[in-house]
Amino acid sequence: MGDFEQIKDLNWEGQETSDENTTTDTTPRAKSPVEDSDAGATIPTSGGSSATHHRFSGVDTATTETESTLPASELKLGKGLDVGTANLVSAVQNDNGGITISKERNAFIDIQSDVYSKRMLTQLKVPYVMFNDKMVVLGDAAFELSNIFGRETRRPMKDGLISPDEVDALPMIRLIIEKVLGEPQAQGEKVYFSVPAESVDKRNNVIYHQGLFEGLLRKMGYAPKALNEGHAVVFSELAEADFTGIGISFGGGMVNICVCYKTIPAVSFSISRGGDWIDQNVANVLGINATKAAFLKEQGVDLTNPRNREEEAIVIYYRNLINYVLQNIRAKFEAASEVPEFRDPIEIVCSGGTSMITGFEEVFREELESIKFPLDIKGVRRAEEPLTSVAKGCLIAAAIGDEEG
Amino acid sequence: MSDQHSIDVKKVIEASTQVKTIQELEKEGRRAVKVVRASRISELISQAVDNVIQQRSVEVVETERNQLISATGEEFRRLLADADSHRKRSEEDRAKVTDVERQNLELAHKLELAEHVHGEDVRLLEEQRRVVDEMKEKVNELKKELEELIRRHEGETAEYDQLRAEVSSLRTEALSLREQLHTSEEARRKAEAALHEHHETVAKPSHSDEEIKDLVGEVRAIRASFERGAHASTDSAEEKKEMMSQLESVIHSSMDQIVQQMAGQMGGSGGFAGTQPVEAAKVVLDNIFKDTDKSIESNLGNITVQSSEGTGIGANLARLKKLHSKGLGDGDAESAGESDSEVSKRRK
Repeated sequence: MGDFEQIKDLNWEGQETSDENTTTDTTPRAKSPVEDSDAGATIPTSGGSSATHHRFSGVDTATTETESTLPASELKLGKGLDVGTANLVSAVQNDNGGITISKERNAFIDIQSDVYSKRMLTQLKVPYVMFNDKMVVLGDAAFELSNIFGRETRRPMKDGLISPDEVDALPMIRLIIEKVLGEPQAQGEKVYFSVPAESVDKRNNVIYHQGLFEGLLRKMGYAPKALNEGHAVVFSELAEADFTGIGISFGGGMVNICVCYKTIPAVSFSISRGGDWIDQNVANVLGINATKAAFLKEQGVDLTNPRNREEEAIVIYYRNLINYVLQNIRAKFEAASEVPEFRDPIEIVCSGGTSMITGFEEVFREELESIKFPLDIKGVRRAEEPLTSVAKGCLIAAAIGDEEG
Repeated sequence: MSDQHSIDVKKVIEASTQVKTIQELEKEGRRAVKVVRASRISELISQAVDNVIQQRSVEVVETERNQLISATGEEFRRLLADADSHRKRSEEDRAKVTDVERQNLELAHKLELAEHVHGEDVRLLEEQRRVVDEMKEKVNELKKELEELIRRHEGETAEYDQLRAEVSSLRTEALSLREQLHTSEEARRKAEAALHEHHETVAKPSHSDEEIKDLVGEVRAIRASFERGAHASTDSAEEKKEMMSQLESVIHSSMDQIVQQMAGQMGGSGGFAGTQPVEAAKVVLDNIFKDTDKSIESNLGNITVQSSEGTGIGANLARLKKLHSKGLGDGDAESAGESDSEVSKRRK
């Protein structure tokens, strides 16, 4: 029943739902050029969309037809926000029929404060704030500086949730979100943001985390709605399969899994290991800091062809993570009575920054074949845009919610 | 004196003498030497010969004199040849000494080179030994890491087995609870029917917590009414009192389970039963964000966040709309001859 409640949240059943966001969204806002155009105007199909269509054999031509006659106004509403441990990513529809993605690393670093540094940082287009008498550099620049200085970045989030160890987490994450998401186009604009599911391997609770971000986004003038991270992947990547299958988000702090039947999440859960776990362990065995390990990992390692000791260490921990995730999924499915029994084989889609490494799909398939998986799997693939998949899924939820709500 | 008997004194001197440097003479302990010109020696020889000849000319005739000169000349030429021969041998010996010295130098150079090469070999050998030691150390480290990984894997496997056992136990428990719930709901339905017979105004079960509490209150009122003995004899009143007590117990149990169910529904995907997100509109976060509500010095306003273009969402929205318009029972399920109830059953 809880799953159906979530469907109502998305305002699918417009006549049944009286969502608070619907009322807050009645605030008049300026119409965009697209909205001013006649309803039913032809919407340009982006190259990316057509690529999505042809990913599988047996393309549903009806989908393409429907898409070409969508009212233009639905392409302008709402925003999606992926609140990740490693990255904060926003997605918003643009005038070209595509989406605009903004991304910043969810990290910061404090450096010595002086007038010269301030001037230099501004000239180098490095974002900083003065906070509690400290100069704090935010986002991607913090990651680069930490590598140069040989220091660890400070992270507002840990294991998928707001970090209890970082005293300055909330103010810093607020600033980064404001930068990535921008101001609402109108008061009460809908924004769907990602939240993790409860973990199967760690006692954690998302209530505080979710409430905190809802409050923060509301403070910014948005009408926020939480969406499970794995569910967002399904919205983004499994349209051709009628939103049926398994969406997995391999993030920095967690791996989120969602099994969906026609958009309805049957089982959602998370595993509290991710890219950070790999970085930390690689750092331990190589005697370097975790930020440096992350930097090495992002330099183009091929999981099927490691070239040196560092890369071999990365491969070992990647393979272990994937195996650990699959074993936990299997155990969960074997135990969960509410897992639907799909008549036809389903697809697994992997997304998230941690899945971007070369050879990920091959290793995932190898590990999948090595265990007795309780569901028939048609195929495994990586999202076309792994880093933005969750934000895109949130945007889809916001757009459909806004349009039908 | 004829030309054939004349002697080239200069040539003789050159042939029978050797050149020595002043340093060589010094080495031989000669600090001063007497110098005689070659022309003077020539004059002295001529004069000596003339004196001898003049002295003997008195006694010998001209012929003898010529023979003597001739013999003397031959003797002199023989001596000259000997001197020349000595000089040549001396030069050959000197050349041999020079050759030996050159060979000696070459050997010394080769020796030096060999010593250098040997030193380089030793250095390379030490370097290789050091590399081998390092590799051994790394192998040991990797062995330790491997052992640690194996140990960790074994630990995780044990933990996993334990968790599986717990999950299996919980699953059994859940099935048992589900059966109990089913029994309770059955009993509740019977109770409702019974209540309906005795009192038309009893409220129907509701999904609201407050309504269920009202229901319990009404049951209590009915029981009180029965206790007052308004409707039946003592025996039947006792029976009905017992029956109502049981009904109340069943309704309490059902109510708790319904409340738990509702809490689970409100928890959203992934939430544990009984947990639910706080309604954001009611949450006051002024204290949490008070530090950032005030004006903060920064350059964020001057810096544009980097953006990129992504693929559109038109196809996904269209698919969602299509799915929505057909409903769960349509689409793939419909094409496969599957009804809504079958899908619903599958969900359960």
